[in-house]
Amino acid sequence: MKKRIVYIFLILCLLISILASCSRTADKAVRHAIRISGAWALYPMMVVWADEYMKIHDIDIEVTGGGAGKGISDVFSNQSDIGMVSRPLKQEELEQGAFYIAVAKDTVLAIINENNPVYEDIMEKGLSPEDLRKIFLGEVSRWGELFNKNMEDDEIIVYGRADSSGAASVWASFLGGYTEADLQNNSDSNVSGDQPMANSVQGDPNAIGFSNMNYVYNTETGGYIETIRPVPIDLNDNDILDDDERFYDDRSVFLKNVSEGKYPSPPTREEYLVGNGPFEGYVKEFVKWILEDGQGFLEPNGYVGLVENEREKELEYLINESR
Amino acid sequence: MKKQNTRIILDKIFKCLMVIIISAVLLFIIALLIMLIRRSQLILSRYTIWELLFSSDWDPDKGLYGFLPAVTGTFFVTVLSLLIAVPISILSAVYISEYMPSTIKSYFQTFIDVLAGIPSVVFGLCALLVLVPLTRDVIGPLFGVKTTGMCVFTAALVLAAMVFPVIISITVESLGILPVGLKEQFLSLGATKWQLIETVLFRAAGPGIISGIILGFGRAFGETMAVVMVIGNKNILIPSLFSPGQTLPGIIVGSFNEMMSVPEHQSALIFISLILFVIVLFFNILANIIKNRLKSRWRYE
Repeated sequence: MKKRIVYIFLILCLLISILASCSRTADKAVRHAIRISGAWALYPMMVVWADEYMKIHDIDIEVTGGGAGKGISDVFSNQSDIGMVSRPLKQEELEQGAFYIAVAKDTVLAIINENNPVYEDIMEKGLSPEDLRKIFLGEVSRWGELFNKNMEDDEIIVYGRADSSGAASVWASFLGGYTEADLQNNSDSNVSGDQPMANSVQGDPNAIGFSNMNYVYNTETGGYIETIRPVPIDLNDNDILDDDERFYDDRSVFLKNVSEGKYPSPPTREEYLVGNGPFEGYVKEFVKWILEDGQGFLEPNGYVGLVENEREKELEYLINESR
Repeated sequence: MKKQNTRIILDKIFKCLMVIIISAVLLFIIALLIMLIRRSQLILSRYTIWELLFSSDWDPDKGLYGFLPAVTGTFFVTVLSLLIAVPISILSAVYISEYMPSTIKSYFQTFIDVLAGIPSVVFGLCALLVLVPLTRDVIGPLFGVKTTGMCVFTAALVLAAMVFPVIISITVESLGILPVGLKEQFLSLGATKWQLIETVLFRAAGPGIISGIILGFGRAFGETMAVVMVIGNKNILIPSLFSPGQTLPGIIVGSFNEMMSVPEHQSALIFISLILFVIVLFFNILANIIKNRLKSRWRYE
């Protein structure tokens, strides 16, 4: 008796699963699906884009993270249609036939603690790119040295990123063509991820690190997050922050200056969508929508839009299917 | 008669089934090894093993793949953690098995087993929240060093905490299976308890204790998450206890997901897994050999 019940149950299960798979294949024949995977830096934005796009089009979009390299590998093995990448593509990846379109920008800032021993000086005079280079490569070791002051307990503690990240590679190239490993090997400690970086700088008045914009400014209020402060860059190295170098107080003002190019690039970086060869069909339509209507969603979500002529160029690449 | 046949057939079927399963497990390990070797081919065709293992320059963007800092870092952290863990765990194991009243003993053993089952991320988190500030603000200054707290010393402390339960439970077990007669004979000669432990128990339970230590070594060596979170991940040859270092699993977790689409970098990371695999295999085999040798030397019957 018991056995019979088990058999009936198993057969039912089998039937249901067959039916279920039938209906799914039938469903797929009508509805297109776009599979997207890759960089965590672009993931939150892509989720918003996918939601908005699905509202107006009859299409399924699946977004998963996993890291830039996973995105590109997935694209090559046809496990996804679009890979999200937050670092420049490597020569080896382009040789394998990767095709990329820039869709957004993001930027990286040096961050210090509010209780930094030379906080007032930094906020008034900024740090020149050369100062930053010396700090991150370990050529100066005391905060006082930067402003010719004799201080105590002012050792600079440099934090870097332990994991491969777009933020680290773009910050290294801003400092003058260095690599992620150069930063790692000259830091006092390395942590994995933006959030641990933020925590480390918050916990140590003498610390300096670098981080994506969204970990410096609060997206809702536009102010700074807790004790984290951005380091203003004294671009012309005249030891004072000029009026056009003072734009760090508020997120929206900062964003505007980033998109106008007043904050240098790098560390402003482009975020890419990558395909196994040029995008085609409904995938191409989706990328096109991102470059057109999709750009409007960037700023509220803490990203920077492409400048008009850059955007047009990317659209052209997309439509001509080559770059 | 018929019943007899089905019984025997069933016996044969199950025997076959078990042979198939066990060979599948073996095949799996061999397949894993072959996969790792094949996927490391690319990096091995561009650099020699010596270049990879004995160069200390790590910068994949410039094509430099020197694993020496990570290899030495891994051994350094593991050995340091064992130096901390072994004396403490052996002494506590002796106390548990020889001195502790048997009513508390079983509770205590359960507690240690639970400790062994705690996921390593939890250890890592606790270390990040407690040990890192402690090393930075208290232990570092005590030795007169400036440190961020994310250093080899902190990593070794966490690892030691993770290795305790392994060594303790195996030591307790190997002390527990010793015949009562062995102890009673020696005690009847007028020996103290410590003399008994020192001269008899450690010898008799020696093989068990040593294999516990080697298993602990394996656990510490391959440990990833807890170490990555607190070691500071810097690819240098470790100059001091309080400076950051790097471990082999640390390199893999740090960049595999970001770099798996760059064939050379991916191959280098897979080669690291191959090194880990070979070393752990080697130590397991070593553990067995040592155990058998000691067993035949320290015979007490």
